[in-house]
Amino acid sequence: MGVPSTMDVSPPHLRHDGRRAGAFIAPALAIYLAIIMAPTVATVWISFTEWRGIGDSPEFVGLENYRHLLKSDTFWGSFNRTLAILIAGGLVVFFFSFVFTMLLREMRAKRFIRAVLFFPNIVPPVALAIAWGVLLAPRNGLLNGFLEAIGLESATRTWLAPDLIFRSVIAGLVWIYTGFFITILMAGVDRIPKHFYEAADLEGATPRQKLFRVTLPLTWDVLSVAAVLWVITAIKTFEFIYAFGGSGTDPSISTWTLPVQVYAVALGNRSPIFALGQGSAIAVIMLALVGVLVVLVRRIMRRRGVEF
Amino acid sequence: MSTDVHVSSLQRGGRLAGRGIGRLFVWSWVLFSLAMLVWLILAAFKRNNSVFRDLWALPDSNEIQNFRDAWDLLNLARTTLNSVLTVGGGTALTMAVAAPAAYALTRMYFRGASPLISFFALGIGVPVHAIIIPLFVGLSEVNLTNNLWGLTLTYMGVSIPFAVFLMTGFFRSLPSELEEAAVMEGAGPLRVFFVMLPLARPGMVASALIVAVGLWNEFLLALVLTYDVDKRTIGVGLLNTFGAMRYTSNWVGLFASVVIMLTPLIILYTWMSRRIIEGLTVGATK
Repeated sequence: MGVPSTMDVSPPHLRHDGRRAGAFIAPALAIYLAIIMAPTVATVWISFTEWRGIGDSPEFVGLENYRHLLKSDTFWGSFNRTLAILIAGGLVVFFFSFVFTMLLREMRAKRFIRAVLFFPNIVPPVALAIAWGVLLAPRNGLLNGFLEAIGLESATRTWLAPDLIFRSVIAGLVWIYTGFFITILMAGVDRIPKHFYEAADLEGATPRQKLFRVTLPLTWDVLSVAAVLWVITAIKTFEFIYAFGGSGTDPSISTWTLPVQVYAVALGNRSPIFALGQGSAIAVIMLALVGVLVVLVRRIMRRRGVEF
Repeated sequence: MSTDVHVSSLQRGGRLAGRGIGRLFVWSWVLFSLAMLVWLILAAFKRNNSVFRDLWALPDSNEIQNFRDAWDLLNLARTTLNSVLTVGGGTALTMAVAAPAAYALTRMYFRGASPLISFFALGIGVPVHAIIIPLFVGLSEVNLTNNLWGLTLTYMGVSIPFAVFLMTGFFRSLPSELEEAAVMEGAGPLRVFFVMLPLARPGMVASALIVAVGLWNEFLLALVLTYDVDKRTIGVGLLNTFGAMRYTSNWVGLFASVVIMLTPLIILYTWMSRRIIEGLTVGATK
């Protein structure tokens, strides 16, 4: 979102030189630089080395780690699953968020519903993974149990089998994040003055016309922020996938996404391989993906909104 | 003319039906989420040998033993203390440095404020996984791995971008009359800051809540940066309990653990859900 320049509206007697403000900002900036920015730069450097961690000295190998990744099926699997969450998951999340936001606008219990739908976002992802596992467990899971109880045995599936488990992951993520994006979209829709809809109603506008002529243009800013947030969320989501895919231990490769693979090859797994160079190369690709997509989304969505 | 009316009333009927189906779907989703929560809570009071045999039965006994097991499984006394120290400390310290920063960035009107805000916001987009390797190496160089202070410091680092960003939104929306009056009376920048701080209280509470909930639920950093049993946080404890399930099969103990971890969140949420939700969306809409 654009940060309005504060310079031109500043009352002159409140204007400060940078030095005074610097003292207010320095502590936050120092920790931010040390914990986030310095390691980000270091990751790029480590990605050009082969390094087994403390006790081993990093050896410069140029683009070798990247070359290795581009030839690795495991990497492309993780990469494609990350994109699947981003695009397929994203379409479903945004479709539901939109429909729900429009429906909730006219429902009396909207605050209660919003609070319930948002709730998974403050629950520990491990707890969500446990719940999702219980729901989808093949033999005595709640979903299969429910399907049998209503006479739909034919619809029961082995939801956690290798061919279905990643779809189950995406369904879980949709369940968690839809509530979050409903909340954001609702905040945008709530800001639209009521008289716009009243005027549209007087003119006999259909719901579709109201959506495309009123709601969409007037929430474009919020939508663009939501799209950026989704890009970041989809690429970095880790805890739910890790805990669900491995039931609390190392997840099977059929659920790996980029962040899971970074953890698995560099630090995690029962017997860590400490391939720090390779892990860092995946991390750099993730960073690049976030950067490119955020810029792209912002460019695509720029300046189609309406001021009101 | 009469066919026109007929068509539009048909359309309207279709629309109403569509809306009815839509509402039904919304309520099923709500019911599904609530049912899952209720099932987990009830399951925490059931017996391990019957919990999956009769899925929809009510608990027939008060299995307080499950919670005693959970207490041991989670090593709860220790992990709670560790979580409270690192999450509480991390949140308090984040607010202590992020509030003055956000204040200066929005109300001290100096050249470069706006790019600096963007620079802080950049950190929101950096996935923790992209920095965890050098972070682990760097912290172990200065003996801050397997150390609650190291974890607290890291929690500050990962929370600062979002906290600063969120609070710049709150500080920007404050009226400037009070600030001007304080300056007129000759108050220095620090005094003016403390005059303005109470006005930003709702925003600070929301930011602190969001930071604290995020850290309470986090387990990757705790998992990587600490490894002794007595340094574990509650999030790691729950993950380990879940992972041990394939050997112990004490499912009801696991459900009791989940209920223990959810309880403070549910209390907090029923009390302050509006604050949390509105705080979180303010950054997106201001």
